[in-house]
Amino acid sequence: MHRDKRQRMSDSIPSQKDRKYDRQLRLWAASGQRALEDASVCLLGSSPVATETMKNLILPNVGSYTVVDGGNVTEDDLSANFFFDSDSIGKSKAQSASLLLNELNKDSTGSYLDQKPSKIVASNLSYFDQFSIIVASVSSFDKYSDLEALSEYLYSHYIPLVVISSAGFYGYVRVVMKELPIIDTHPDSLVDLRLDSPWPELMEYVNNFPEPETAAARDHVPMIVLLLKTADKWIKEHEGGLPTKRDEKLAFKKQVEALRQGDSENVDEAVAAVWRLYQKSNQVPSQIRDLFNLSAEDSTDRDPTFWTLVEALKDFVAETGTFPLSGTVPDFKAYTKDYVDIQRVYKDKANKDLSRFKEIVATKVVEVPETVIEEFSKNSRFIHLARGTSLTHDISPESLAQITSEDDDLLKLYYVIRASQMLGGKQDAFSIMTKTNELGVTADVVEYSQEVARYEGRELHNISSVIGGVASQEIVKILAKQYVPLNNTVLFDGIGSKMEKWLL
Amino acid sequence: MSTTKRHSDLERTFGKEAVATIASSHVLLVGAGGVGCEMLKNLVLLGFGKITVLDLDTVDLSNLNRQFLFGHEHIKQPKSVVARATAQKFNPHVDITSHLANIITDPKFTVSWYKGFDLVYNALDNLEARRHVNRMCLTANVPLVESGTTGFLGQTQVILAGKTECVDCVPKETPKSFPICTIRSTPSQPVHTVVWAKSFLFVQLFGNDLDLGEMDESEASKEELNTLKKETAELLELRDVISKPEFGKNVFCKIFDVDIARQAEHNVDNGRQKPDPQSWDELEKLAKHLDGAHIAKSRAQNVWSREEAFAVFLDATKRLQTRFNNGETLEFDKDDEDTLDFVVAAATLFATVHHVTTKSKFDLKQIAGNIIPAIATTNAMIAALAVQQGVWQLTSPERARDYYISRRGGDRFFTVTKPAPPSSSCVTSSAARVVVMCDVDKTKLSDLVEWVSKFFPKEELAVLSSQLIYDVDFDDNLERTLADLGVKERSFVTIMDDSDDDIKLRNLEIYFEPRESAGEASSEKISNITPIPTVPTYTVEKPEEDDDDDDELEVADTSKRGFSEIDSVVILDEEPSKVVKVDEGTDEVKKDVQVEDVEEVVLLD
Ligand SMILES: [Zn+2]
Repeated sequence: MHRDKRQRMSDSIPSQKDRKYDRQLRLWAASGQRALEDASVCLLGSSPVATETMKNLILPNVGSYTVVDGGNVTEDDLSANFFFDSDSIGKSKAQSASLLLNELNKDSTGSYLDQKPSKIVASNLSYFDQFSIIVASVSSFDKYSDLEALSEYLYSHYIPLVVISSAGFYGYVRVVMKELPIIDTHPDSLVDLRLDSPWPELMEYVNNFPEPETAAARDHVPMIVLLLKTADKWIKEHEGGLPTKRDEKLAFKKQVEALRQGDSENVDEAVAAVWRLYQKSNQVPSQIRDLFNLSAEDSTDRDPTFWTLVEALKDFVAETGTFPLSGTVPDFKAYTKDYVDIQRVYKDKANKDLSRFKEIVATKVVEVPETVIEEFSKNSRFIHLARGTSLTHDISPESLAQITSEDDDLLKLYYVIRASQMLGGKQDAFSIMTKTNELGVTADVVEYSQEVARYEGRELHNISSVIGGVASQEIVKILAKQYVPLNNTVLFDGIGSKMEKWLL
Repeated sequence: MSTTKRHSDLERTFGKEAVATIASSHVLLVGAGGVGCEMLKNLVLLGFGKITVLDLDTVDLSNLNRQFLFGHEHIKQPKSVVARATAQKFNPHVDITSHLANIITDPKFTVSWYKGFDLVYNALDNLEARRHVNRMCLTANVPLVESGTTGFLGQTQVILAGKTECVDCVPKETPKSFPICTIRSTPSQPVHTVVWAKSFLFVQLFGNDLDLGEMDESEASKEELNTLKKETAELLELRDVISKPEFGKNVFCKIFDVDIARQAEHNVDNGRQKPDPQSWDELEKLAKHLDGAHIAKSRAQNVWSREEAFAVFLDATKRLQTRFNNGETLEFDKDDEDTLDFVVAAATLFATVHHVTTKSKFDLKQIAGNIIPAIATTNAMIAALAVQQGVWQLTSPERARDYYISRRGGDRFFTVTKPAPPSSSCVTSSAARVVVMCDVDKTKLSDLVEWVSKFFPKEELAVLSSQLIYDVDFDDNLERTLADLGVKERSFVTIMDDSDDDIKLRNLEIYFEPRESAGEASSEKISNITPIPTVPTYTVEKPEEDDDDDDELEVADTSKRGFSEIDSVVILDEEPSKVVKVDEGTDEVKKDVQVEDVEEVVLLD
């Protein structure tokens, strides 16, 4: 049956698929979509928060997924879950959920495993090796320690784990991943004008730019030319460098403003871009410096492509003092010809930098595809390494007593929820938490505990849907290796309308 | 499953009373798109007693990546009907009604109709409909939960008449337009070439009416306008051969050769590079082995060469010619491949002519179609948050909040605020409103003015429908009936205090409710309407002088953009801290001044 599906997909014209996913391709492009379609997701659990998360991954067309759950559907399970119906009662949860999830998108391949997640953890951890990511609903485990064991295993195997939980008005998402390298973090802008350190060809272009003879021509002198000419003049007059002190900067800005004759849009643009002169193109941002230091570490599980590129970047920066130019130029007022010429000056330099960068990469052991090198070179200033922690680095129930009244409200709530989950929701064990004396905890912790106890683990569809939305969005980022994903915990309180995020 | 069971689960969390309120409530959901589908699912699972869902649209392939109540088999079927059928299965106890209708123009949707709901949810994709529902809910005094997403961004807002901000409280950006001479003779960006191909060339050749919407004539010189007129007339002449095979060639030669050559000759513009006329013979040779239809499909991610664009141009023109000759009315639609291919090919050729860099079909489609990214994840979050705020509004209103998912969120995923009070400068929020039932065919303007003068200073009042119909210096219409003056049932008339006083009356909006909708046999005479509405006064603020601060410059937030089409408009300029103040003394500014492509306005973190 699966083979038939594949067949149909490859037969359909590509533009059909492009059109179906058009509105998301606008965000993560064909490369992100490909990564999503190559991914396989393991979903542990089938409660509302699990199926809502999965829904939001199947719709954008995650390649394949497996729903794992060992229980059978009861009437209780129907109330807040869109992926069980009355026909599901008495049947396997995993099978029923995957049946209705399958209907969401025939391009995505679904399957199921009628088995308890805790049992797989106990008997066959290597089962999880086949997946790109594991999505685990806390409520699907017999014991919290099973989830911790899974976390330890996946963490050491560089397989991302996303833990989801929802009960009553509270829910949280916890991302567990050892490290995730991201080349395309989608920064606000890739524009890099290098006005602080123009290269010879750029200065040559600026110096040869003809003096405008008409008013119209004056209004069309590109702001880059205005700024670099003014800066050049300033440097000559001030024997040394660009303005550094505040009053010098003000004086310099006045010089730029003095170029205005009437309503000169190009001068406005120049004034607004003065700050670019004071950028420090030769400075290595601290997070990149950290990467340079980390790159020496070695492990077979690490992404060899990324680390090869980091090594090469380190060499490039050592050699040239700065990063490969992105070549991206903003829109500015200019005659078309001048605009295109300036674009070319920047493109030429970017290409030159790219060629050199490719040469360096070629000296390394690992072979990297051209397109990846190009993407890396363009984004080199903004690459990111997400480094997380495993679940066992979290709190223990005992640490509840260490919560003080000064602690962040939502952090207290998070501890309470986690403690209740570790106690397995056992009534007698849990009721201890709801009494001040026994653990010596603060009054608000008791209040939170009582509220959590009241829910008895029941999910509210709306809250599970919010959590499912948050979790799936982070999963898309992780699978696409784009944007900066959550690191590592976010909690939502639907009564107080609060949300907080921590690195735990 | 049984209702009792479902209720007992909800009661555990919400409480008994709240669940009863929800079960007895009737909600209106306007829009069954990305956010609307999610909302309908949530409303059904929450156990709302009655749900009315409305949408005028049909299912399209590009909806399926998020509008999960629809499948391939539903393409071209009405969204409202399919959404109802799919959602109903999950809770047979909910009474769902669907309307395939336009919320703005359909005569069924009067103020009385709105009053029949306990709560209205907006899940719309355009500002006009949003503003309309906003005004109707303010008039009917029904709580409205407004929501919208674009890509990774989204927001939801609770709107209560007189208590909170409304849709109009924060002015929205108007769509960008370009000077016509830029479009026609000095394009410098891909968007200029797209506007030319879409709003000028396409419409001239295949459309009904020249749409200058995106082109601004105001700055054009007389000479430019004359040339434009001449070229337009010549294009219209070309339509004479639209049924003939030579049509494509004729169009090409005129547009990319003759007109350009004329331009190149006349515009000896200070240093500008002259446009390059394109030779038919040369391109025909170059494109001899190229298959336009194939290129259009297989090379959507690549920038087309001159000859590739030429091949697609001829192929798309042929496809459109056939449809035109079959009597079809053609309109540009980003999801209509024939019209898209034509526009992309023409824009690419036009860019070649004018030495403008161009983009791939994929990217040009985004520009031409004002495409707003839309994803399942953001829709899920916003829809659930919005539904929750509506539930709070009905059960514990003090809990309701406005949510924003924004890149300015910093440490938080969501920015949450208490609903803000209405803006004092918002005309919609500050207006007083009255619903009247009187015969617009019999009521004269003089009757209306007489009634209004009971509570408005007679010498200073102005009456506006879609335009001014009365003020003290313009009394020509007094003896005409309201209907004669274009005032229809289901429409508003605005009464304004036109005085120069420091303390003035707010506007009064009079809504003419159809008589039959309220079951009234005979119509009221306007002079008999009591009680007289109370119109509040306000103190006119003197315009302040601009603060010219030399030391600081303002950098516009890159996320502040106007979006026109979506799963709904995110009113980005409502985000807190929209302006970054940049101190001259600082060395570096994090935010870039430049607004790049839409896809770059999406970062959550
Ligand atoms: Zn308002």
